[in-house]
Amino acid sequence: MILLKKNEDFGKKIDFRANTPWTPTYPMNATNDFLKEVESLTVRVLDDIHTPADLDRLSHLLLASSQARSRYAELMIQDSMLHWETSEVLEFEQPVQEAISFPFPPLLASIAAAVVAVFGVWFLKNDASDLDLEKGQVTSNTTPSAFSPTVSETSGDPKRPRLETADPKAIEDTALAVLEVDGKSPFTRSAEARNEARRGIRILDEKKRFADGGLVQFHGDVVGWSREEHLSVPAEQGILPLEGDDMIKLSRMSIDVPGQSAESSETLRVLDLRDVTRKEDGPGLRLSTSVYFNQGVGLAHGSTEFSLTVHAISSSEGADRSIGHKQSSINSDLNPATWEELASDFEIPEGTDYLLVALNARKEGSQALLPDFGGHYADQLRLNLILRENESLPL
Amino acid sequence: MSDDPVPFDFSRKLTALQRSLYAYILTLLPNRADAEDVLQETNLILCRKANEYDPGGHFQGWAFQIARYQVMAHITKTKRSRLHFSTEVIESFAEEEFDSKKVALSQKALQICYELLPVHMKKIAQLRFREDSNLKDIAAKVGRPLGSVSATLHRIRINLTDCVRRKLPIVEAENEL
Repeated sequence: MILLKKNEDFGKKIDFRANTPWTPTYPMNATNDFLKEVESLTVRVLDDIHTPADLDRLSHLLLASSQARSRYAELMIQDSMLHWETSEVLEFEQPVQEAISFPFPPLLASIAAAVVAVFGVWFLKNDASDLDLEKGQVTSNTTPSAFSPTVSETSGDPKRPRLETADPKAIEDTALAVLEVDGKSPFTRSAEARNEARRGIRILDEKKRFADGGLVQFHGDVVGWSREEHLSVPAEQGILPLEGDDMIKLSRMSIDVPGQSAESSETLRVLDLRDVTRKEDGPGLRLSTSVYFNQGVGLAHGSTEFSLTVHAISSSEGADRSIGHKQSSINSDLNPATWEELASDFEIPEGTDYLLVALNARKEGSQALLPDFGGHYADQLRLNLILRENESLPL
Repeated sequence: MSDDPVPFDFSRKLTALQRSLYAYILTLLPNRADAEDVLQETNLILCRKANEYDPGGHFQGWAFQIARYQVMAHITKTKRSRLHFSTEVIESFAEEEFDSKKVALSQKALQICYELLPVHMKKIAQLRFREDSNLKDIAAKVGRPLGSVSATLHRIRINLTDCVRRKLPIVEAENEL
């Protein structure tokens, strides 16, 4: 962890050029002036306020000196990081700062946490219905359960569904379009998995090429949002990947104590079929799937029901609705050295714009209540879009 | 485009290289919209050529070479309408500056330094870098003259690069632990 004192850096002049890996030392004022000119011209270019003469001058300086090129590249790299699409620089991994030293940090932290928790509960109890959900919300046709931290009921305005989860991430995601999914799978019960699906749909709908937490892939006319890499881990818990160096690890199971069950779900792929269905109008499109599952050795010895769910989504009027779905399941054995294959076929309904592919794991009975130390894994997820005339498109 | 799926390992390398690749393209083609277009084109070509890539080869060098060709092609296409660097300038940049590890460490340092910006600078930085506002819009939003905003942005960039230089050794040391 990096500890810093705030306000130590700005507002004072420091000879930053001394012995850094970026630039050598510049002892002469002339060199400093020369680099200052490079900086000034580079910033003009970055802010798009440069003239042809500025660019000519900058070109001349860059060709004349490796120091100039290094300084220019440094500013460009910095700007590219500041502008990076997902704004990680500005949003994530906020540093821990040691600005003020409190005498009893653990005590104060506990009090602060308690205050935040109390206000958080109060806020969710009283004000959830007041949150602006005009832009969209998670909805599900399934019965609310312990997997949805707050009940998805309507209050006040019956047309205005309440926020379904207290998860801050889910609250943030109310900016996404509505996603309505049918069925009774762990996927439909998991707000996180559905939020990931909604996010994937938005990424594809906005034709983004890069976004945090996944990879946009192109397969002929099909563009896909894939999260395999994001969820991949190397060998662990005595489980070796079936092939290669990585395997998919499902998130930790959520436990439903009254229902004596535990489950987790991950949205693995979102596939944009709009270009395909535009060309291949009519029935006959199929998605063939295959995936292997395994579970680590944990406190719970019972087998796990693994499943793969596919939802066909039709997108219109700001809402994404499931118009068909399929869940295929398999029970794992207890041997971490073997992988169980689950293969299935899904007839894609007409009018499908997107396909959602999710992997789920579920345990039932008293074993489900034990801590989930073993881990649940998948590997070699294969998807094939079967087009008419038995033409196949690996996805 | 080839229908063969892109190998997983290739996808991972390509994803890891995105920031450096974008920084490299932006350096050669200092216009964000153009650089993003070229990045997309480069990625598409890299994916098409995934099966030609030798896993034992130098991935970054190969990817940067393709990016450089794409920048040249883009400049040829748009040379009448935009200001660009000459081929000579483009060829003068060494790709070593854009080493992925170095870029990743710089990003961590930048995260720290960004937080240290004074509030008034952070506001302008947010408008420029996060909301992608141009100088004129920023000036209107903060109620300051355009020249003053331009000068502040200049100071922000220089302050950040100075700070990143100082923090890099700390970040490197943390990273090695």
